[in-house]
Amino acid sequence: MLDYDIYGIAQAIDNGGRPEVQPHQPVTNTPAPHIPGEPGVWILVMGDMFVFALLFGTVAYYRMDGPEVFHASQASLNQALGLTNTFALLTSSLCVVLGLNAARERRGGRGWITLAMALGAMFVGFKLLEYAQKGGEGLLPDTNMFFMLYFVLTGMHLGHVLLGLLALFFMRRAIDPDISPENLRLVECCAIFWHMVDVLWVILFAIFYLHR
Amino acid sequence: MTAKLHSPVATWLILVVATLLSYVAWIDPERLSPAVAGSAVILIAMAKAWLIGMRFMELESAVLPLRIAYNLWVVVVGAVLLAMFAVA
Repeated sequence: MLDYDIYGIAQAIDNGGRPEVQPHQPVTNTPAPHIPGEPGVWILVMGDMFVFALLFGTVAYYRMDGPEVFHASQASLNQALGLTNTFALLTSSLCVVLGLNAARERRGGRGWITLAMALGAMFVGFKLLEYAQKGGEGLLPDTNMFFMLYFVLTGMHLGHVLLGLLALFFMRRAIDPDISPENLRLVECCAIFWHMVDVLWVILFAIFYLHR
Repeated sequence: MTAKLHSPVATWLILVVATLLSYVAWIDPERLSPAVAGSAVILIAMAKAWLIGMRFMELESAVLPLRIAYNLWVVVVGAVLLAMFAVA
């Protein structure tokens, strides 16, 4: 019979020779409700998400003021590059999940995290390329309110991507076939932070690049 | 079947298809009215955010207060964006 500890690690339960399934006891492999990672990382993540929620509201507020300016400015963004970056972050999130699962099952998982870091670095590269393109076209934060919000919000997000890459670096270093419960908790916290970076980008992509 | 749909790769595929759908709403503006396309883009983004939270951040199996906080964030942000963008 399998049970899960607070880290979601499957562990065999010694039944002392008794039958594995007791009458009227449901058989389940579903982990008991727990806090993924540490409570502290959720305070950080929820705090960050609250701040970004206010910023998303700010974008919507200024868009109400001048939808024409927003519409015209949005047309000058590179949607294909935004789409590529979305795929890069979604795929890097998948790699982080696969790396975490491998670490839990004591199968290593560093390769997945290396791939996730490469995709994160690709996101940074494309974002900087996009900033350079906009700068070359004379589209800067002081051009209008759309570009002010675009540069501030995507810039803040880019800062989170860089922090996330640092977290992935520590995650990769902590992963080991003999990973300790403490390091596994650290790995979970880093993964949660990286997924938050993904969540925030998904919404930024929608409101700046796609919403007409 | 349910386990397969809940696998990380299946979740990633759903996210990729959802992203492509919202991109199509942008490149093919004639197909939908701007209001419908705009709302669809926001709804798809919030659904993706919810899916990443539940599956990748493992909130599906998290304690109830954490799940409530995350779901509340998704619903409130989605509702505010939909309402304010609709007014504009």
